[in-house]
Amino acid sequence: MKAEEKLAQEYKYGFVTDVETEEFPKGLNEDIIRLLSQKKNEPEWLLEFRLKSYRKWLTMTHPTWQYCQIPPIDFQDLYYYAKPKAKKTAGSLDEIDPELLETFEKLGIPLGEQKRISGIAVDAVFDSVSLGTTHQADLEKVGVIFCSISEAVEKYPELVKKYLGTVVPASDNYYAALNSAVFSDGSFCYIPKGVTCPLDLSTYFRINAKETGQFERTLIVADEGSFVRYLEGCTAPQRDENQLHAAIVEIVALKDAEVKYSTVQNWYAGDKEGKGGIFNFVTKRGICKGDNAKISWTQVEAGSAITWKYPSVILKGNNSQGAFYSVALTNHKMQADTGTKMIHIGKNTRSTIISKGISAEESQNVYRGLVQVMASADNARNYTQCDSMLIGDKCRANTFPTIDVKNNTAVVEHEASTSKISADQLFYLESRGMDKEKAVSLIVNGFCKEVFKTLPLEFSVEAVKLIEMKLENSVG
Amino acid sequence: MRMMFQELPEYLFELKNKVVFFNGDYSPEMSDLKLQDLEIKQSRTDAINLLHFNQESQIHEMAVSVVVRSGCKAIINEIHFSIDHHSEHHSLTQILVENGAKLTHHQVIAPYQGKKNHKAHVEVFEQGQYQSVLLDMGGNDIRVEETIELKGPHANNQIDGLIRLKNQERSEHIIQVNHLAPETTSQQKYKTMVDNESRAHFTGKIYIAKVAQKSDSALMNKNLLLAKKSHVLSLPQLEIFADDVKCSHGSTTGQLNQEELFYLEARGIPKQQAQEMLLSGYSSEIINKITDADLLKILTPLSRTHL
Amino acid sequence: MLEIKNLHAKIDDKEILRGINLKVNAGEVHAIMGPNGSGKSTLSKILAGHPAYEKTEGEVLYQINGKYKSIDELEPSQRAKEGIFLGFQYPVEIPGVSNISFLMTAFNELCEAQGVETMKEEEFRKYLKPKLMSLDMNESFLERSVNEGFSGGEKKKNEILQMMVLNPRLSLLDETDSGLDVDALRIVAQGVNTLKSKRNATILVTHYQRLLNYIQPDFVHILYQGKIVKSGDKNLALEVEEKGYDWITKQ
Repeated sequence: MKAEEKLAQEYKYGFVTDVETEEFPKGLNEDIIRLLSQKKNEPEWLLEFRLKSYRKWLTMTHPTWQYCQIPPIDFQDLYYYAKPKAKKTAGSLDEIDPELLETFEKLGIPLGEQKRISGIAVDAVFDSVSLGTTHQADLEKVGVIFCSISEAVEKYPELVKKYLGTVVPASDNYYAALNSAVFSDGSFCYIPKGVTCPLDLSTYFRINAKETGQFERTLIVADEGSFVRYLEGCTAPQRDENQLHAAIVEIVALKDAEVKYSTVQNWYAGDKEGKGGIFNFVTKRGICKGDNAKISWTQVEAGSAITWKYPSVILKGNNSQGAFYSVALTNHKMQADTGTKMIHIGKNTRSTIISKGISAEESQNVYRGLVQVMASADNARNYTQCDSMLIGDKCRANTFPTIDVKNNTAVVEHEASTSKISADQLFYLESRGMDKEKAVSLIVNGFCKEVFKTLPLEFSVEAVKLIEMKLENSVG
Repeated sequence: MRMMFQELPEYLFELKNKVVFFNGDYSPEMSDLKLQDLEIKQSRTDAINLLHFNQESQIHEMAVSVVVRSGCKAIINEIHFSIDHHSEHHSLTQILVENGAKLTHHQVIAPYQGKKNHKAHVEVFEQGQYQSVLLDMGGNDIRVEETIELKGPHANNQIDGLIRLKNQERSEHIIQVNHLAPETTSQQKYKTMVDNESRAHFTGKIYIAKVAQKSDSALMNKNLLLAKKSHVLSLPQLEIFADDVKCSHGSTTGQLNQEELFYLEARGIPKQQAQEMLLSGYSSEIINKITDADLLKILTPLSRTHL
Repeated sequence: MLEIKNLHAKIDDKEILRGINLKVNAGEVHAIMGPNGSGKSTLSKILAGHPAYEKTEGEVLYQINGKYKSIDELEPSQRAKEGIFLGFQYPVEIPGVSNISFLMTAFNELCEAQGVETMKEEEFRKYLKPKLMSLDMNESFLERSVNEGFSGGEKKKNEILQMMVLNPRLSLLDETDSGLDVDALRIVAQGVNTLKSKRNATILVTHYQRLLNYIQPDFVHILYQGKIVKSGDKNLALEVEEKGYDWITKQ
């Protein structure tokens, strides 16, 4: 394939679904929020939650400390709710608008009962609305609750009320406040005591409508001794204007529980000129509330025009463990400012951070990490490895870790290094019969191997292919 | 103002017959050197001592500029000490190392009372070398900010730093190295030792510009927390705009190495003594980088109580 | 001199030693062999008092002033002063602490413990000189930091030098031969043999029989999964060399 042909390689998810959507008027104010809450038949406490968050948001200003250059977002020029007019029926996916079903099939996520992926229960979110969840019956048998937040508010209000906003309060940051005010839907998941969830749980987000902000909210609660593996995947069509994605993911792991959360993210990154593409601002945080709890975040980021996310773990319970494994690939004019925070509070806590950044073309890749050991955190242990690979001479890599230790029994180790794909390495592989593209893929995959192996198999295969695709034609 | 030798702290008496500038003022007589635009036109093996001190409840400001001309070699010892703990001392040292020149810069902050703010700005040109040893022996309010710019190809910078804080002390060091030309190199090793209720804050920034291809930069920061309420903040930062470079940094924080401790104990050395040996060894690694024998001699009695 | 009864030990909640029984008398050389993971290193570390290892059951009795006493309560430095010497398998590097100051401090601590006069540096250097020569070590090594930048062979020689300086009653040499070429091995073995006497004892922990060609053992024990499964004389080592460990472990 010639270089020009490779250039034309298109984002294959860039199609648009033709479905009527019910939209609110543009803009954001208390009336819109009340309308939103009313449409969803929400109880009073939830409306209050939203209003309080909105009022908080009004007092905050857009953060400027991150490295990315973000064009100012006119928050009044967005739609805050877009629901596909086709009605959804809880539990029965056969009644979903066939156009929507087709959309998800094209994405490789068949929702129809006959064709569903076995082993993974999927909650599909189209624009801001959860369309339904597969496998609900199987999960109900073991007491696992996996449904949309809207449904959860209706059926299990006490549970939602107990945990919503406890890990990421509205006051946490600008986008958290916005999300807490206008979130439309997302997934709720509860694993009861001692249960190992029989299926991997997954949510697929798809932003379709124009000029919509997508504000979903995910809440995962793992009760004592439980285990769940959660996969998040996302795609969006190719459009000229930017779309905003400001999500919140909260994870609560109680005593002896374990949650593994993986994301393979392939939002539309904008074209080569940087037009269009998704602005992805996500606040993800988990709290190891009970002793021996474990939370791990694995992410492969290869999309979105501007990414801003710092999955974090608060290690409150004694012996709790947090991990963060990440590959962030930036190409063309993408900007990524990502990293993690590990806060050690309990005793004998452990955290591991492995972050691999790959930048090509004129992109910018920033790692920002915080390892904080509080005075109470006896015997805390952290190991951080942060590596950057630069391809081409126009890109940039930046590493800004902060290590804050207030307890002398802690051991904290941090290493960072930068490399490029050496001409020697390429030549060696080429002399063994590999073409340049393949050689680059091989080297980059070796670079990312440690992170990929923490992904579930299907995802790791997808991740490898994704990186390969994204890197095409980036090697000089 | 002129300062008499008798007023100096005892440990500095050693400098009696050396080249010494006190707070910009020069004593004793030496014909060819002036402090403002201290210009080194030929190599010299004896060190030039610059002493900065505070006194009499005032805010002092001191600016020094040094140029080391092409191909010359020199050693400068800059010693900051305090006499009065109600005063403030702000110093700025500007250094230019021309092509092929080499400057060894020993910077010592003697145990300090009062506020100490020190800035240094260094430019190093082609094939120039700047070697710096920075010893901070602690104080209640110390801040050091240094920027080193490697402006010509093959310019090199080496920094060995030590921050030693006893109880209830505070110190912040910000070191930035900018690689602005191709094939420039820098090595930084910064250690801290922090005792009870003290806080050491270290920021080590490495910036590699797009034109600085084939540069090589390494930063190692080691932090030793000696007591329950010791606090360390470490920010090693990398900003890289060129792809054909080697760049790494590392930061470790913890207590004395248990294996090293056991090794000494297994040879009959009791725990307390073994700990002292390790602490002394930890700081010796940096102190021994000082190449001026006279300065080392001055530091020895100080180091027994402070390092 | 040393009596170990039913010793059980663990590290990090993992049990390594599962009931060791061993008696070592003065003047004897015992070799402990076994496949990897059998607990060989653990045994010597526990005897020397390494903080990471914990005795969970059993007794370790050591002769002090003629009487057998349990060493449980003794700190590592106290055990060293009572003549127990551990030659480490992987001697750690201690930057900033010079070999001369380390050796002299250890030596003088021992002198004090024994009520003997300590030495000043000049005297001590003279005392070291012949020992350095016998190990084919250059005097310049004294100024270097402990084990810093040393090759494997140099590190092991350093262990033997320390043994010569401290003259222990019970030496525990943990895989002293690993990483050594033939020449270094010969020199190290020579050092150990010169120190052998009727008043001291040596436990050699080794994986290969090779070392035993140079330092003849009186007893050979095979350690497997935390227990001594077979004991014999030096011929046992030769059998292992020929047949490997499988024939024993299969029993």
